[in-house]
Amino acid sequence: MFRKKIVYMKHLSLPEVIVNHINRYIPDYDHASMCKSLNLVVHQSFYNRAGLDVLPFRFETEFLKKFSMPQIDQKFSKTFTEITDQRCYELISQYSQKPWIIQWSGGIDSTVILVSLLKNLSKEQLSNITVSCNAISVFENPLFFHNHVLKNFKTTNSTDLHIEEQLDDYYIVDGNPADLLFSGGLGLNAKNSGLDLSKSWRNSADELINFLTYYADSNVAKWLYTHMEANLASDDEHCQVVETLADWCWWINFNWKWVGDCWHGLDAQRLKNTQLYHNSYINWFDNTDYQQWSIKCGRYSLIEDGFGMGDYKKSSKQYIHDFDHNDYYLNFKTKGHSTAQMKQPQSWICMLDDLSTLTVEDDLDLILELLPAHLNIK
Amino acid sequence: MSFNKFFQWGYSDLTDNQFGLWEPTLDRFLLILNDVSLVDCLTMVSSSRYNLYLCNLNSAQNYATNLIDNSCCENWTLSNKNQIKIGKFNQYNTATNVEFLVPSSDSSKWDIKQEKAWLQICRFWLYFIHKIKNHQWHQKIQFIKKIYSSELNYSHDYFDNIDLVETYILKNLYFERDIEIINQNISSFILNTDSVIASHLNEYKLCLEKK
Repeated sequence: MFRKKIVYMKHLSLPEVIVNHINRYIPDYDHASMCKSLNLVVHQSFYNRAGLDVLPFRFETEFLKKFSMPQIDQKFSKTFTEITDQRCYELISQYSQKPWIIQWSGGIDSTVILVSLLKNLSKEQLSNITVSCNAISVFENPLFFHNHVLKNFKTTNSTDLHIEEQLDDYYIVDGNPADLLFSGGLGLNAKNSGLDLSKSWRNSADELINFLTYYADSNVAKWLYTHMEANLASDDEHCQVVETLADWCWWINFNWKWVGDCWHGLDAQRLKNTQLYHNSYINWFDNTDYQQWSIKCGRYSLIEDGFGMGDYKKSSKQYIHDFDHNDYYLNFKTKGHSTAQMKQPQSWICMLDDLSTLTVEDDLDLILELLPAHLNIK
Repeated sequence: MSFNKFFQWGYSDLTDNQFGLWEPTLDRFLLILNDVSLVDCLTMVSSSRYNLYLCNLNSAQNYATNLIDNSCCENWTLSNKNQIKIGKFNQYNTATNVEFLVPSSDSSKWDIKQEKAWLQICRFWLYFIHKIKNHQWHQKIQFIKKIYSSELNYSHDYFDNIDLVETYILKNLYFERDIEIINQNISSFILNTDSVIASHLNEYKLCLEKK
């Protein structure tokens, strides 16, 4: 008989009954500390894609193989511009049966998507695309909205948009997991706190732990450092590239956050079966080329693009600037907390390998039965 | 129109308070104010270019009157900039207390004088909106209109024009990049829209010139 298994769950809001059950198998699992540690760096869920799997929740390699890190291509030479233009053609041909809704937060990443569409599609193709945004999106990039969005796309207010109601009729596109191609907010904060990101992380344990302690207590900071150290001790080729503090910050994003970020949209829906979601929800930045670029270039962005506040995600902003010539956006746009387009999740869920979801309210016994197989029990 | 007419030093006869609007990418103050009543609107208007963060200058240990004003504010930054939550959605209701005023680097390639001039112009026009909307006459009539909204059936009138002028000013400041075009657009719009508002504008300019 085919036995189901849990392949994904939301970690940062685990119900107490689940936490207690985890502790039966991993007695030293400290969920509160885990949340504090990873709340520094993780929004939703954390799964280990490469290196030693030191996290409590198992990365189901076979089921999640689409999220496995690509083998490093030493000859990779595509630029961010080339990748982003090609991504447009790739997705338009692959997802052509329904019109699109682009979730435009107004931030850098979702603006990159719109620029790619505007550069590479015909007017007829653009007429099949709706931009979902709200006043906050406009506030983030008002000139772009005024000059390009209003003139070229249908728009809809994202505040009133319920994604789960649109999946039948639309493909939904968002800007995840673009943040993870760079060192992210953690790297930016580290730079702003005075850490020299070009230094070797192995020789900077005290500085790194001190920096992390600014955001969480010292036990939590040490937990994060030691678990990363164990993960990176692996022979995995990807671990070998993590040398500097910038790489270290990037690695947390690139390795641990990828799955959760790509399925961020899933957490916000209440779908009994997620097949339609998986068929219709598109993460623009989740492909092999972007990941190769990140390994080759993106992880250096906080060192090589400059030390100014406006230098963050320079490649992305340059892509936008090449199109709209907005010097202010190129030079002054800093990382912000773009308003999530998603509704707040209604309840905690976990997903099985048949793409059905379980909830504590309806399926607690089954969850508790299947949970141990989803844990990395030593 | 000479831009000198828009320039204000950032001092006041009425208060010793001095606040600075700090820009993180340039890492320097771009505007000094002694009145924060318009800071919210000013920073929202300027957000089409960059984000500005309000700092309390009086708290600096090396603060002195005449140390910093709008003629030289770009030469200064704050020592404790890591206390400013950059990236957090604009929260302008609290000012960061400056610990020390320190010289800013002179390595910026950006035309800072142009930005300062633009901010002075924004302040001028936003304060003008504030003046005409808070004029006692305007406030009294708006109050009575709320009570007798159906009995006093105003058609397109002076008060609707104030809203039109306000929207026009905000749009120009928000989207237009050229300072001369901003001022020409706004001045001629006011002149063509409402003679009473235009006369208020003349009074306001004369008042500033006398100071």
